[in-house]
Amino acid sequence: MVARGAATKPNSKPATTSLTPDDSLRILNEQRSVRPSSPHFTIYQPQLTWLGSIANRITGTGLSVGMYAYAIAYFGALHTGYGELVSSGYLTSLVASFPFWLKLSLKAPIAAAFNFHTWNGIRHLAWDMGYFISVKGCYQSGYAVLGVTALGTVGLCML
Amino acid sequence: MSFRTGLGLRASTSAPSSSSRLLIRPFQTTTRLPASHPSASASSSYIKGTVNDPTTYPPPNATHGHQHWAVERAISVALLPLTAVAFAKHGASGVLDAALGLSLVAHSHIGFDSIFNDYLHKRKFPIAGRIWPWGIRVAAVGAIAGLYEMQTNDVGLTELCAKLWTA
Repeated sequence: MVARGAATKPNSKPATTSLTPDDSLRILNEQRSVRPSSPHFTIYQPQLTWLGSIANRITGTGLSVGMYAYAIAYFGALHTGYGELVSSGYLTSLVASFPFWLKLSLKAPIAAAFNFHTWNGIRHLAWDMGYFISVKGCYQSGYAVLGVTALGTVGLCML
Repeated sequence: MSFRTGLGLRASTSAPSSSSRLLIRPFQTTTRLPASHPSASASSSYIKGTVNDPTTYPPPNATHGHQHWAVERAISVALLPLTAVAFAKHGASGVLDAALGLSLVAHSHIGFDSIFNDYLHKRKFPIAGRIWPWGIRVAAVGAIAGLYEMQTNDVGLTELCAKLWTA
């Protein structure tokens, strides 16, 4: 498509077409559907604020999906004849037979997720009561949560 | 004489032609979208009504008020002593397991609701946005049923976690 501008000939009028209002609206909607969005998520500087927030969501989702999955699997297995496979006795002996490194690599992420979500949840409740609502308070409480999470993860993995 | 139509979409083309030419901004020599592009034949309406109609308010919903928020925080607060007691006295009581299990499912359900509302809102996803609420409700009922069976046929939630963790 050749661009036509007024610079080629002064006072020249480009050819136009007339559109009904319905056609105009349809064209606008088609253009809107291909409108790109500016980079946002890919370019925002990593900060404790939003990293902590999405980490709270991810850890909560992971723990909840795990609990739902086991509970639903237990119910399904019980009523389709595979109840033994999901029973506590079988699973306990299965986990007991794992090598230490496997047990640790399974427990560490769960302990970390559980700890972070719990301590950050308390930080969230503190915000709801009006505490730590400043940049300084947000960062201080955020680093405190990270520190307690690390301690709690080590503590839980030692159980 | 303005080169732009009121919508800033096309000017100086001699005649309306195939829809692919509509996807080129005027006075640019960019390549046109391929016909295989999913938006090349978009049908969803981004503008409800005409360009002069104001945006509508979302319809009011009884679950969107401050009480819903308060219940959500109350469940989160209740989980703190329940978890602490579960760590100390796992397996000791079916009441503890029931309270913890129900609170956890309620807390998870509210969390999933927030997540799906953020990423799959029915305003932008008209079909999937109306399916997921039922999906998470079915999942919550299934989880409660599973927790009940774990309590009845097995050692229960807290004792199971304790045994698996220290196995």
